[in-house]
Amino acid sequence: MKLQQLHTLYEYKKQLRKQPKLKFLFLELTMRCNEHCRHCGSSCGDVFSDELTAEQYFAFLDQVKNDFDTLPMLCVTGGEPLLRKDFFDIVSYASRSGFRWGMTSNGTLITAEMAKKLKNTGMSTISVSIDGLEHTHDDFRRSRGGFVRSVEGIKNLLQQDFLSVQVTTVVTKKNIRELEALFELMCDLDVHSWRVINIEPIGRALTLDGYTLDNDDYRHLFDFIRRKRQLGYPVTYGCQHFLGTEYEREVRDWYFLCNAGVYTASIMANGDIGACLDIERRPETIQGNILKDRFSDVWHHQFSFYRTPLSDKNEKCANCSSCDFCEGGAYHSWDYDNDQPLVCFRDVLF
Amino acid sequence: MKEEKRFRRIMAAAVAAGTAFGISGCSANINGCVYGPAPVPDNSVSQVTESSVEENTQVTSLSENSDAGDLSSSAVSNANGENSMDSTTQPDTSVSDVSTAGDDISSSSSLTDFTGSTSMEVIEDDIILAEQSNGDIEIVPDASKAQSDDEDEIDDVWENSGDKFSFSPEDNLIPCVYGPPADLG
Repeated sequence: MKLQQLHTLYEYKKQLRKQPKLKFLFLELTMRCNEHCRHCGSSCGDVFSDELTAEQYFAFLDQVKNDFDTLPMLCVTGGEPLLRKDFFDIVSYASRSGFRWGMTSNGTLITAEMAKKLKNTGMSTISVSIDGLEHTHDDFRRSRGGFVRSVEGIKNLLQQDFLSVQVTTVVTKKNIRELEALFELMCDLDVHSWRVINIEPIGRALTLDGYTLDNDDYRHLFDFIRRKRQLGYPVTYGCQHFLGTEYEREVRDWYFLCNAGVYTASIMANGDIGACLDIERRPETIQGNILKDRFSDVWHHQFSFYRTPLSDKNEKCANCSSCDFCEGGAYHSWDYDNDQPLVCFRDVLF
Repeated sequence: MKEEKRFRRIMAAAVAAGTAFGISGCSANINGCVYGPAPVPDNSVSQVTESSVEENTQVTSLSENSDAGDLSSSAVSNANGENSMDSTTQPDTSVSDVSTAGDDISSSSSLTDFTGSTSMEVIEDDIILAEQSNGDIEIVPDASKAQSDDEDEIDDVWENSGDKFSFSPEDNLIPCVYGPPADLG
């Protein structure tokens, strides 16, 4: 039955590339962050960050509202978006304009008062990172006291009536043996869901030794998620990678389909237009800039880069028996210099 | 009033079958999402400099798998379970959802007590809907399965599910970051 459904999805993907549907629009409000994660896909932290002004965001949101019949959900992210002093100006404007919005945050700045303000400003969903038990988390994120503050932030969020308060955990060699203990923590916190993903070789993690999972670890991770889900807990893997029929639709709700450029677009901190913020930033992956291009024009008339299967660029992928379902995998985990996937689970999971 | 948990056993039948949580309920719940009033902008975001775990926290037990060592005190839990659920805003994790799932895939039959449950209902070959003595409804594996940790003994429901679990490619939308899809359009 899975194979049949995957074939159905394959046919749908071909149509989707011709008629993409903008569902999620990421806004990277800043590259600044008060944590300095070893694995950060965006290499954020104490860095200089080009940032659009609030007024530029207002104009952009007006444009999107005018040009799209169905408004995408805004996914506010960074860096740590709460570091922007005009954060509430921007999201308030978005809410008043009719956008639904959610946010990723490290949670360290979310006091009870902040959680209430986020609720009152219309935030519906949020994902907060917990990357291990206290010592592991603080070391990984190079943030002394970060774990305690993040847990406190999650508790404050759960006091409000958000649609979803999700915890995201990036699994590495350093914390994979803490999964069960973290699961107990999630049960006690009583979050809406727990997203458990493997570290990806992108951003700072490209040069990080000793963190990447090996093949046995991947099996352990996916078996862990599947087991919890079979028991009914809202544990989920992320959006990345085709996992083979043994794990597809077992460790997450749906089958693999990289959203980049067909469901998702992103506005980077400097106004550049891309598909997913995790994708390597280089000329061919940047499709325009909202300071000089109209976003809807770019979405409708550019983006061909993301509407061609990655597997077309790689002979091994093109000849793989799972090519129709994987299509080279996720755009954020593609080696654009050598045109090959950075992560491939063939011969690991299937 | 019985406390309901968000992060709890849900829809085991559907989850085990791969249809998982949140399929039908998320988009429906979103329609009920109402924005609050526009707030007065307050730019006083500042770094939290001091934070403590609430008094009503306790150290959770670490699993055998944990090699956390001196990290054991870092896992905290809320002993009061203070975060009650607003059932109008939850993913489709309610008991009624479970019942629906059960109705769809089984011929229900009542059973006698087992492991503290006051009543049970078989909703799939290896899954039981059990009402605990405290009123909680839990989805539990069949007793014979529950006594075994062998993952291999978990039935592959996919193999037995026929075409009961429908698939819509239009809804095959994995939210990148944000949990349940907030707007499936």
